[in-house]
Amino acid sequence: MIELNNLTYAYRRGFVAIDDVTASVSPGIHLLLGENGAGKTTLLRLMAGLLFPSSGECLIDGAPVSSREPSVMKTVFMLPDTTELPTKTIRGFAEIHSRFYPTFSQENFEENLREFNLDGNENYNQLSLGLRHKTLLAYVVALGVDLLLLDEPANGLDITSKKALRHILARCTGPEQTVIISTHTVSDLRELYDGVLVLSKGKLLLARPTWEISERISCVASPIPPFDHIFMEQGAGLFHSIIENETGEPTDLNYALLYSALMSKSRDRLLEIINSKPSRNQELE
Amino acid sequence: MDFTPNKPIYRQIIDYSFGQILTGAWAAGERIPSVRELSVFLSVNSHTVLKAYEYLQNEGIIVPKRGMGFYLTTDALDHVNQARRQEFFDTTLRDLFNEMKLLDISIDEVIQQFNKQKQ
Amino acid sequence: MMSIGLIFKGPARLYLILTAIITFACYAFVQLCIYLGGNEISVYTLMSLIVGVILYLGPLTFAKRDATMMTLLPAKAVEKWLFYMLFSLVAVPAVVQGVWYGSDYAYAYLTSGEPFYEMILSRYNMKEAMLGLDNRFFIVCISIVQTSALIISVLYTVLRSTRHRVIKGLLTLAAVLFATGLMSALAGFVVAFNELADKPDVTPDQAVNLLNNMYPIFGFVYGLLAVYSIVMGWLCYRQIAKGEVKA
Repeated sequence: MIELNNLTYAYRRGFVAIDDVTASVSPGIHLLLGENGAGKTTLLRLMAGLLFPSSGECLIDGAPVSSREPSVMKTVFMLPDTTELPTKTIRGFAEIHSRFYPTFSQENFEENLREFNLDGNENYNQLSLGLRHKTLLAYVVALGVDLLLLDEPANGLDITSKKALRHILARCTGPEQTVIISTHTVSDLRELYDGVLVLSKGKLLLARPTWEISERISCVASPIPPFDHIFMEQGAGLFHSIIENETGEPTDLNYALLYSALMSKSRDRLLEIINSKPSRNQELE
Repeated sequence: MDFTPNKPIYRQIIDYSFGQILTGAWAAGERIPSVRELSVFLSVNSHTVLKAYEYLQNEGIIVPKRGMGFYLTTDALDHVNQARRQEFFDTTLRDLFNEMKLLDISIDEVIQQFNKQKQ
Repeated sequence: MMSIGLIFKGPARLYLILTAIITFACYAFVQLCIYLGGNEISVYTLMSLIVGVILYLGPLTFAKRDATMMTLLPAKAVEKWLFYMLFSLVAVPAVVQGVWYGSDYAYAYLTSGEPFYEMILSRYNMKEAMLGLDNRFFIVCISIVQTSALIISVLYTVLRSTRHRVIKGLLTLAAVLFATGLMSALAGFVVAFNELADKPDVTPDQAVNLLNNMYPIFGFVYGLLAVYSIVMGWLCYRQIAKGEVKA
């Protein structure tokens, strides 16, 4: 369980990058959305202990990550969008780096490489950006940490690789693990998300499990706009709208639409509806 | 598996399950993949699979056995056909009737076309 | 801590080998000059400078590192700090000293002559009586202090910078060398001025006196450097434990 308690990060000049963020993030794979400059990367870095909060805290299973105690640090990992490797190959790196992470699974690592069509002995520095990404992902996802933070992981991956990434994440993320993926291309891994967090101008607008949201609102695409919609957008000859879920029949969340709605004037009404109604408790097997 | 954006994922998973049952990949009375196993295989979040399994359970197609997972019922195939028939009535026919209303087509015209097609 | 070392295995090995080769090459060059009958003192000074630079730049081994990955590494900050410090302050100097004096004694043994270092030292001892045991120890101490101050300064820059670590490290070395050189010169000048102000004719005894009076001042200067080194060492630790990784 990841807890963010009144997490705030302000620069010396007074700019508040993360403004009083409070949320409980349960295990699962979560999508982090926000406009450019919303503070997504800052939030990820705060959660990894790379930055220290001005006030508030981030707890991983009750332990504050800003203490940088090895016991906490081995339960978290962040993959930024650019990484240098101190070794020639990822296998070489895995050998020296995985010693610090007792949850590392060699088996998962091997399987991940296979799914990405890599053998792990490639010269990292000679690989293209996309291949470097895959190499790192294959390793990082196999670390088995309680909290994995990925910044634009599907960046530069072709369609087959994105599918492989989806499968790798599904396979390697255990019931106790949390993965937070910050991305602008929501469509890549849309079927996978268990929850979504939306950040705007440093403030956390939403942090909810996907299914809780689906119980309360529906995302529909129709040739004519629905009568009473919370938000509506036109695109590709259809009207994409968010309406209250009257039927109880769950629809897939259109994250891009949800995000647009939260950035619009309909934000407050939408949040009211999402945060209302008592939820029927769904227990995962 | 590639999911189309036109149908809720959990519905597509139900369709997938139907396919597995109809082809015999999932055998009657046998254990089927657990929620997690299937969610990994299809790379979707577990809750979606759970929703699909809830539906299948309600239709009498699968049954949970405590501590052992989900199993296909012995008459699963019948239930599947029944469910698909029901879905036909609920969705395909409903859409057809709406179209008919919009285009002002009578049921007799439809029967006429149907008989013509049979020949 | 050994595991941390493994991460830098490649660059560390490279740097140590480079250090050994350059130290040996410099030593060999000095011996060659002696053999050819040149001015070995000035050559020695130049070679010492080169070896010194290699010694002081040990921390550049850590220049090409991923700050995110190193900060995330689940190891105590103290362990990371100890590794950086021990490599820079012990391992690299050990290689330099080992290769230089090792080569020297080996050469002396092979040619049955006097080790070069001993020879140089006796040349520097203009009045042998002057440099007793205490002063030898004193000189060694200030040498260690100066070396440490330079190395730790480079280390701090390498740890603190996010980009262009090598250039910044080199600039730091130049700046601190300049500063310590300046300080020593100033100190010496102040003492000399005080002592010689009213005495237009300097006798040899007065010169010796002067030198003896300089020692406390030098002691003060190098005392400051020692404090500086300790403070920098602590700042290095703080950077590792509390440094933020912004990008």
